[in-house]
Amino acid sequence: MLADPFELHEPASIAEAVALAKRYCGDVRFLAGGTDVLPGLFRGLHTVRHLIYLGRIPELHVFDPIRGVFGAQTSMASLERDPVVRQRFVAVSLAAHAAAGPALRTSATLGGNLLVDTRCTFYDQSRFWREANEGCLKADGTECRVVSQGSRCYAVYSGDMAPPLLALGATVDIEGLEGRDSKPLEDLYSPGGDGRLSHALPEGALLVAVRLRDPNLWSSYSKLRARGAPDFPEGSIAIGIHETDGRLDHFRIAVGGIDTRPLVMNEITRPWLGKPMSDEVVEATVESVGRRLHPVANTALLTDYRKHVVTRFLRTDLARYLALRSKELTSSTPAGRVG
Amino acid sequence: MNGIVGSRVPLVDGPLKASGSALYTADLTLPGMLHGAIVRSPEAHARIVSMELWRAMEEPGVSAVITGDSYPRSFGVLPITRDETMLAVGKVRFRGEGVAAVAATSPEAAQRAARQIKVIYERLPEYEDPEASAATVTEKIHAHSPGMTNLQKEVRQEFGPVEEAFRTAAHVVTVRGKFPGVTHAALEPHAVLAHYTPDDRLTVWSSTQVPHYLHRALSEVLDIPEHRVRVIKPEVGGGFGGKGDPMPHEIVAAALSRETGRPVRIVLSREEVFYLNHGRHPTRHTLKLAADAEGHLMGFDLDALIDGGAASSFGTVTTYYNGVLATGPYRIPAFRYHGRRGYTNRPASGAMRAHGSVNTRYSMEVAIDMLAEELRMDPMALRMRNFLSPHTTTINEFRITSNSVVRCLEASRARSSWDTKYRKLPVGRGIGVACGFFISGSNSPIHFTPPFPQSTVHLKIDVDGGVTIHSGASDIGQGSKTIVSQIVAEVLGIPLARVRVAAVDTDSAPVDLGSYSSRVTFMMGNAARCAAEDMLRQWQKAAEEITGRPSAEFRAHDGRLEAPGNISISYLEAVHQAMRHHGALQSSGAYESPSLGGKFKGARAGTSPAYSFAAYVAEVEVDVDLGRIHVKKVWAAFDCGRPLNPMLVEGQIEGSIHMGLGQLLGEEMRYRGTRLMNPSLLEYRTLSPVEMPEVECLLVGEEDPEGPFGAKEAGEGPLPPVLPAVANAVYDAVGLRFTELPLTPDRVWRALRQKERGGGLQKPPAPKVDAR
Repeated sequence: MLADPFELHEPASIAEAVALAKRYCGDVRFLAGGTDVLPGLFRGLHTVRHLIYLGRIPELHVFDPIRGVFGAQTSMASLERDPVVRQRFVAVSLAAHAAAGPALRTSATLGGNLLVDTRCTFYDQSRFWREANEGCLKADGTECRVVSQGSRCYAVYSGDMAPPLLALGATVDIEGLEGRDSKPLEDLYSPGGDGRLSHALPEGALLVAVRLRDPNLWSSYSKLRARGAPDFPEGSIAIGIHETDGRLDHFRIAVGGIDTRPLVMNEITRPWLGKPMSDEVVEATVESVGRRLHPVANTALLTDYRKHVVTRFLRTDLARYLALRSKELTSSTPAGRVG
Repeated sequence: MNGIVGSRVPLVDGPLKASGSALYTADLTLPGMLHGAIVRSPEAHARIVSMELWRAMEEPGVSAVITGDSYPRSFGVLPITRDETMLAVGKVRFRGEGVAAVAATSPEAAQRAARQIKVIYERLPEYEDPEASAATVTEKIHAHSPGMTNLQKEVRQEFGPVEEAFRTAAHVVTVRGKFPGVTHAALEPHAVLAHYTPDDRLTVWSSTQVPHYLHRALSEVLDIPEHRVRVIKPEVGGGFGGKGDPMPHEIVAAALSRETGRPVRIVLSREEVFYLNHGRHPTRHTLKLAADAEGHLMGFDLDALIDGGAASSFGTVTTYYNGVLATGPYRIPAFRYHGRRGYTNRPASGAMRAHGSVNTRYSMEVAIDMLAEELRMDPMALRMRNFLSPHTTTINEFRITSNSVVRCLEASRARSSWDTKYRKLPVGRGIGVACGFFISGSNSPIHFTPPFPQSTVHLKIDVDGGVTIHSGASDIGQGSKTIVSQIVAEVLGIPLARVRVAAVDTDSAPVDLGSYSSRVTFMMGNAARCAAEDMLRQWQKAAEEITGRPSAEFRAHDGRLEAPGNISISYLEAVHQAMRHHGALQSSGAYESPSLGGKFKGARAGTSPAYSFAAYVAEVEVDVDLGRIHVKKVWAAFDCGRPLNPMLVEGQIEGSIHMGLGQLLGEEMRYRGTRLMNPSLLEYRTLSPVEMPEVECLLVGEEDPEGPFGAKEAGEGPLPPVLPAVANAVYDAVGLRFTELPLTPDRVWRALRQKERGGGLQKPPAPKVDAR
């Protein structure tokens, strides 16, 4: 498989990158580490004639774990290995470590992972395969191959970085045609729940950086994948918790690898704010989150299993928090696992 | 003799490969070279109504467009079942089959042109299930199937009093096994470079395990005399059986080169390699074992149905192997086998490492575990009671020579602390055992005319003192170059660095049948030893001329020829003396396999001059919450006779365990109907390094009387035992029997939930009779 010819642009500034994106509007993609966009080009999933490489823009490489600022070009390997990230933003480090394999993580970037294309058995195939299958809703066709007569696309959000960052309450800096804007990470994802869109960034807008404010949260990330490496998540869950004087003032949960976008469970966790974390909270949360999970059969593993494992991770990770809390060790103890 | 044989010599081509200097087919270029691309069918079974080629012809850079009609003659690795063509002729039989091919000045131009070829198909009924293929069909996939069926091969064999055995047995166990297809997943995708020159000669460089069979197929299909066809095998990045047939793209490249008069290279994409397949057959079988009250096996009955996909490949052999290779390492007084292979509209199945024996071995070893439980015996004790002895004959007339299976079982039992673990580990942890048996080369060649040895080796030495080995044997990464170098250096008593192996080139190398059926060390090794002994005799004669001492007194050692009484000359002195009148020295050695096997139909299938034996123990931990099987350690006791290079044997065992666990725990050619759903390495999922257990290799074999320096095979036999050893360990851990693969965590989890609902997880009952 070979990609159609394209022109590679290598801007040195954000302004230049956004201007290029505007000039080639409709026929352009940003290229970060290349681990998602390039396979997509080889498979004919993207047919643009212009790629804007972001690696030469210094501002996108900002890496300041003390202040919690991470440029979009930060490599997954840096997030995985940096001792400050590992100590202050545990779930971020765990998630970076759980993504792909070591070689890919040196190229893959934070921004690329947040905006990774949604995945589906019927979509992540070569042009030949898709044409032989007469396409699908997300590419080259008019019917969903997963849910018969489905009117929306069920392709799955398959990044590792969104759940932990959402659980930690991250914000993102975005450079658009109207200038710089800062918004909650949630806003990066399409609220409509259609897998055809992997994110809600307007065309030509550029993700510049991710910001994390509070380094004192307890956090965890657990991921289910078919093998120990290097597969995409079949379900993942991140938790961010903070209590002041024994009462929750931060409690967020985000799930990846199940739905078309990362699911933030604020409506489940918000009512517990102001109350202490307890077995009762754990039980109620696990049950409510379980009800929100509706995977469909478009990845490798069985759907009931994926749902089981994600809720099991949630229960285990919350129980671990409770156990550590009783020993007042919650700030720096890593939690999570890859199953 | 200088101790090179038997020592842990690193691969002689290791530095080249590790440094990236080794040249593989895709690295090769020639001036004026064109690039080929193959147009593939989106239909699984369809008549080709018409093809529009002119648009492709008009694309810039395109030199030729061909279809199956250019060279419609069929070929196949077995001369009795030639049913593949270079490109489809008249109809397509599986999705991904080539229908046309393009040669152009760049890969991009070739691909662009290929996309311009429009084919109109008329769909035919699709067959995805070999059961349906064995019944009456409305549309035959190949015209030569019997009646209105899509059967490719049917085998019936019966030896001894089978009915009586099952009627009078105290115990009968039955396993209904179901196995999806798996594929080789070699690191290097197939690639070929062909150059047809104006002197009516064709040279083909290809990533192949079988240069000789490719040589024949090119000659036959293109109608070029064999002496004008030259096949060269560059480095090969893994084969595992997947490069063991002459393949369509190899013929296509040659045809395009002949059409254009320019060299043409084709490098398959990973997806195309999946469609080429020729991998392990999807299998369904029912296996029954009968035993008396003391645990002596009385009968073995097997009914197997295998999915051949759209071509025969090695399938006739596979159909036999599914049955006959399960008759060892046990003494079986009665054996019945019914095997069928059906064509379906899926990529062809063929030979894959431990060809034809893996799935039956799995169910056989699980059945023995079940039998042991019924008898309340330790499964090691039950096996010990039923082993074939050395130097015996099996029920189906396989000649057994060396056989160290008892030592294998004893070694793995002792090293694994079996007696303290079996049925004694806590719930969730378990230990299991399984045995193995495999051929050291197929005793029968595929072609009988003209008759010639299985392997021939030529040696040449000139004034520089370096010995050049010419052999048609294919090093595909397994290390045959190193083994042949060791053997020659050992006999000639010279350092390994004085020996070099010439590239496999059919113009200069004598025929070796190829790297399949684990034949190379045994057969080429014997040929090499003979060639080296022939060379040594020439040196000894020269030593006699120099010293006046009888030639028979000279021994080769440390680069010298030494005779009693402190007589010693360097080997080079002898060589230069011998060369004095006729220049460079040459020698030749050959291996002819013995006459083996019975007189019944199919009697030759599975005969071999020697067999490897194995006994593996695996220890596992089952995460009952997540359904994940963690293989903690494998004790792999293996009888490869005398290991000529223990490090390479260990590499083969570790690689086999990795591959076997891949099939057991995750790999699967996943289909929806005839559509392959996972033609990529990301979705096919071979075992990742994270899942690889610790392996302790126990090389306990005794010297084989006919193997070179006592050696037998170690390339395929190490694979099959690991699957049932782990499955039996899982049973020991959680009391669950799995007879369908693969054991992915979601499927294991489902089975565990069912088991819990049915009364909870517990250890199976302990034996009353211990292992002794």
